[in-house]
Amino acid sequence: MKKEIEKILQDATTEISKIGNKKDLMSASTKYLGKNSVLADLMKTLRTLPNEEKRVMGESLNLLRDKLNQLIKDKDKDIDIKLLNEKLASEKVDVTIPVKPHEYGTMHPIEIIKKDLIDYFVERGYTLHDGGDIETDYYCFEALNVPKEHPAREMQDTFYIDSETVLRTHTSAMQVRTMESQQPPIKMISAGNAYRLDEVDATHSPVFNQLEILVVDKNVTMADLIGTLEGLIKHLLGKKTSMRARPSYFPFTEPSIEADALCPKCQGKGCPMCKGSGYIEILGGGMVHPKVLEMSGVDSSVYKGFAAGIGLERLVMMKYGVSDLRDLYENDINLLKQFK
Amino acid sequence: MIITLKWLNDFVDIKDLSVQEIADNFINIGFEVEEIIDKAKGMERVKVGKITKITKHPNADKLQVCTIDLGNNETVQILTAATNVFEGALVPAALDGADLPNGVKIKTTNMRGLESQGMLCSGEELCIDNSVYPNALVDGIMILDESAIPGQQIAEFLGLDDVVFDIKVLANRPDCQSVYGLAKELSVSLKRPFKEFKSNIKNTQVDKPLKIEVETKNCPIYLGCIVKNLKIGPSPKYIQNRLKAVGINPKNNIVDFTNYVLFEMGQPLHAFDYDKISGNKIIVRQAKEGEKLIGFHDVDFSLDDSIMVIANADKPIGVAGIMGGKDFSITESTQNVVIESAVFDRVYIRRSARKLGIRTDASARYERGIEPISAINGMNRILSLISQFEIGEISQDIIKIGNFDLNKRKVILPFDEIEKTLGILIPLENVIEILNSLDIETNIKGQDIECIIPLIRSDIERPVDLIEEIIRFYGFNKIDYKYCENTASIAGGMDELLKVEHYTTNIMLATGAHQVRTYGFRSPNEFDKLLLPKDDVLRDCVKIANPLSLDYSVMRTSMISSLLSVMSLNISRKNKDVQIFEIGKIFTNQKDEKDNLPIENKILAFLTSKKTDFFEVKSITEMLGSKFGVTFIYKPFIVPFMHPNICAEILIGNKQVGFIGKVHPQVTKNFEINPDCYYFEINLNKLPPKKDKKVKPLPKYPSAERDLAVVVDENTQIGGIIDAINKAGGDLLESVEIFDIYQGEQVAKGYKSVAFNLIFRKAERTLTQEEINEAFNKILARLENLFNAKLRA
Repeated sequence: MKKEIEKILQDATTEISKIGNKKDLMSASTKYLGKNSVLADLMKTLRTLPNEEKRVMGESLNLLRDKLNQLIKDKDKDIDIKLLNEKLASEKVDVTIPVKPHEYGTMHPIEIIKKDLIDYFVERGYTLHDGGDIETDYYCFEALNVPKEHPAREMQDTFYIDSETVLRTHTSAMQVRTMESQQPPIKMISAGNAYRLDEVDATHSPVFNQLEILVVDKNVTMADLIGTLEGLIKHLLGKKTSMRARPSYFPFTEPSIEADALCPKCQGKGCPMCKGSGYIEILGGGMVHPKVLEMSGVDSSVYKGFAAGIGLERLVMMKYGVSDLRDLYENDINLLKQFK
Repeated sequence: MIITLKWLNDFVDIKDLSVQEIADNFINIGFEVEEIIDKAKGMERVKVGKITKITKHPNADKLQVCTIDLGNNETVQILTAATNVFEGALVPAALDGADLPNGVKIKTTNMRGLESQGMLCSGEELCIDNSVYPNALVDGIMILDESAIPGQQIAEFLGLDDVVFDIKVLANRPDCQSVYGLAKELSVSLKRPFKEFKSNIKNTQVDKPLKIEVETKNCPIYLGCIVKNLKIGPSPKYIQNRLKAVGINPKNNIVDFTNYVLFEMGQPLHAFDYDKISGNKIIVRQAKEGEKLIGFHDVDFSLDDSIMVIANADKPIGVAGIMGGKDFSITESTQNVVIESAVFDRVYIRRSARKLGIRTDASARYERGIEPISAINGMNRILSLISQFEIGEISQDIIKIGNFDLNKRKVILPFDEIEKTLGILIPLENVIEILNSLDIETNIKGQDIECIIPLIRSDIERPVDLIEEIIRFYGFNKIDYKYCENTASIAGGMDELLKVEHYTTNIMLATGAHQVRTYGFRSPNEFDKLLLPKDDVLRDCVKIANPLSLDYSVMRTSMISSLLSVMSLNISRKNKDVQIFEIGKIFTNQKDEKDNLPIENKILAFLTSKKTDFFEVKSITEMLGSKFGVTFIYKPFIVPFMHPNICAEILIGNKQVGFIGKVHPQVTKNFEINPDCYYFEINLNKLPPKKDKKVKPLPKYPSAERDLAVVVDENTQIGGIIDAINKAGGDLLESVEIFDIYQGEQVAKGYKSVAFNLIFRKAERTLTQEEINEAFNKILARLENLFNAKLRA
């Protein structure tokens, strides 16, 4: 019987090793482990044996069965691997074939700059307010200390809807609306369209975008305005720049300043980017005129404020090297796609 | 404002400074220098030379050899081919090293064996024309008159030895529309003495009658003075040169003087021929309807009572503050004049100038505002010039009409207000020094500084105005940076609508659409392109009263034309698969209650020329709806510019928030777009604010899935069926999804089969088969009932 067991194991090992598919493996499994297998026959003869022999032979037969099972299991695994490899081999692709990238939309460059500035200020505790493009003469001019026939109205030629309604010439119109609707302390920004009667050309557009900054509180000074603007300019143009404040005039601020950035490209030596002047005009601002505070219902003997306005198109042109303003409003998809 | 360096130097010594130093000083105190022109550029090595001898070149027929005397015993030899030279002629000689205005560089050269140490110049080579020097453009070498001195710089001889600055003067400083005013500012900036103008008039008895009457309130101040026995002739060279430098053509001494004082003192003046003032009477009044005046260049102006005139007893002789009448101007034969120096109402002059369509140097200054003291200074200045050059006899009686209140304004400046405003402490002595140098008298009264403001500085009204003056000259660069450390800390944020806008932008970017920006005003012609009927509500637009052009004359009432125009441009450039969006405003003619302003709405608009279909585009609006946590309802919708059968309005509940569909093919054609386009717009004002929601716990009990296929009439709207399924399914129905729509052989003609996947679930326990069957049958019954639906076998 012992010899028989060895033979079975030897035959099975030889036969199974030659098998290459699941069907043959199944037959082999039936042949060696099935009801009619030699092993089954031997199991049947077992009970005819004397006890001691029965125990020894029983162990041997169980061991044989385990070994056969293992052989089949191993083979089964081998065949699986073989099949998978065959499948993988058939699934070959040419990874070098070019494809169209999955398209993710692009923000308009003006909106990129706008969002950047909004995030910058909102992080610093400012609240973003929205205002109307169409504004009353009062909020656009009168309340900003620009009465009718004031020469400063000529600084910004205005589109009129009627004698009392205009397309706002600046986002500063939001200053008074904000101060009317809330008490200081105020830290406000507002961004949006402004309109001026300019013919369209490479550097002029009748529609442009501004960001307005307004802070009103008890201890606000020109030093805070200059510091705030310096921080902003560094944020926009990098640490290599610095700010120059020079006097200017706006009817709604006094004193008024114009803030220039030291040209980040040439460090003030003069280059095409700054048109040789060494500085780039970035924005205008000043201390809110006491008349404006008073007209907005803010006590100018207690509170002071600063305000500044920044044109976004100029920043876009500088940052992305756009030389013609018209390109920004033309919206050629091939240009837009370049702003990632 | 155009000024020259030499002119400034009359009032403050700046000869030792470089042009850049002067410009920097102006910039630092708030006057932008827009342009600097060195009139003598390129003439540094060009001198007046006298031809002392001319000989023929031995080796060249066409060349003449000139010996040139350059003064100081210096002579050079210059060869020329010009034929108009002669011995004794005074000529411009460009010497070795000259870099001429026309770009030509001059070097000593050998010409056929003889040395030429430079070049004799034509006017063209010096880039000058007859307005600079008579006969400058003659063919050949420019021959100079006898006043030229050999060795003299040619620029000096031509009156071009000056530098012109174009300075931007902002609206609050009308006093700086003058050389005098800017020189004053410069003197304070440089801390150098200011050479104030001192009146010096020699006058006499003039026995000529003159009466001046002011009949209008728009002329607060009028000064008139007779000058008789005039010697009309050219004005002094330096005055002519300076006028030319600022762009004024010299005429005669009287006219030149009026222009000179206008630029120097900022006061417009006018001179009328006294002998043409009929009735010996000057009347300042409103014009009468139908009156006419011939202005300069012989232009006829029709006047009316909105225009203020200067008239004699019969008729207007000039338009006040703007121009004089040609017939009353100063000519060679004028013997006596009346000089006018006046103040006219700023607003009034502006309106009149606009109405007449002219702007003169005088009107520009009146529009900015002229102070009474300026009228007095201006009169004194021109009379001083007339005295200095002895060109007439000045009447000792200057007729003065108006209120000459010459009391100076007082402004109290609390000393601590300076630091409170600027954030730096400026020592009191610096404050006082700056104010005093600006002619502001100061008296210290306790903690306050009492400031007495010069009459010319009408812009200084409040303490802040003084603080601006102080920091302007103290220097903004002395302020240390602060970063609002002393202000209240506030949490930043944004308005709800802006949050919606930002969130929407992010979602749209994920769809692969590119954001565009377009103008809010458009052409009314686009209404026709959009096939809008004559009475369509979208034609009721806000109109701009003074548009740039018809193309930009009305505020848009829909975003579609903006996006179609962008699409059109891209299509014309052969750009394919254009998918764009914009978040922009539309404007209605309805007014809001608070400010009576047209109502604005923020609209998300999307347009694509990609090969797509309604459903793919709808999947974008559905994504938006799901992101905002709202359920959009779609109903067939008719808009003139959209496909009549492929368009739906988008609703939340029963409130319309937008629409979606295929653009009408005729409309795309009208915008010169070939491919089909799909469009949608959603009004962001009507979306609910985005709220943070608590998460739903995941279900604990299993769901049961059933498929339901029914056959219905082919016109049945599937949205309606789904609504019915949802209603009938009640709490047990978790979701319903459509997975097949079939029309064909298996289904009778005129019908369609629709298959749904239903998912049932109860949160608290596992559903029983009976419960599921009951719910399923209820749904089927509802569909049979409502849509005559048959369960598909």
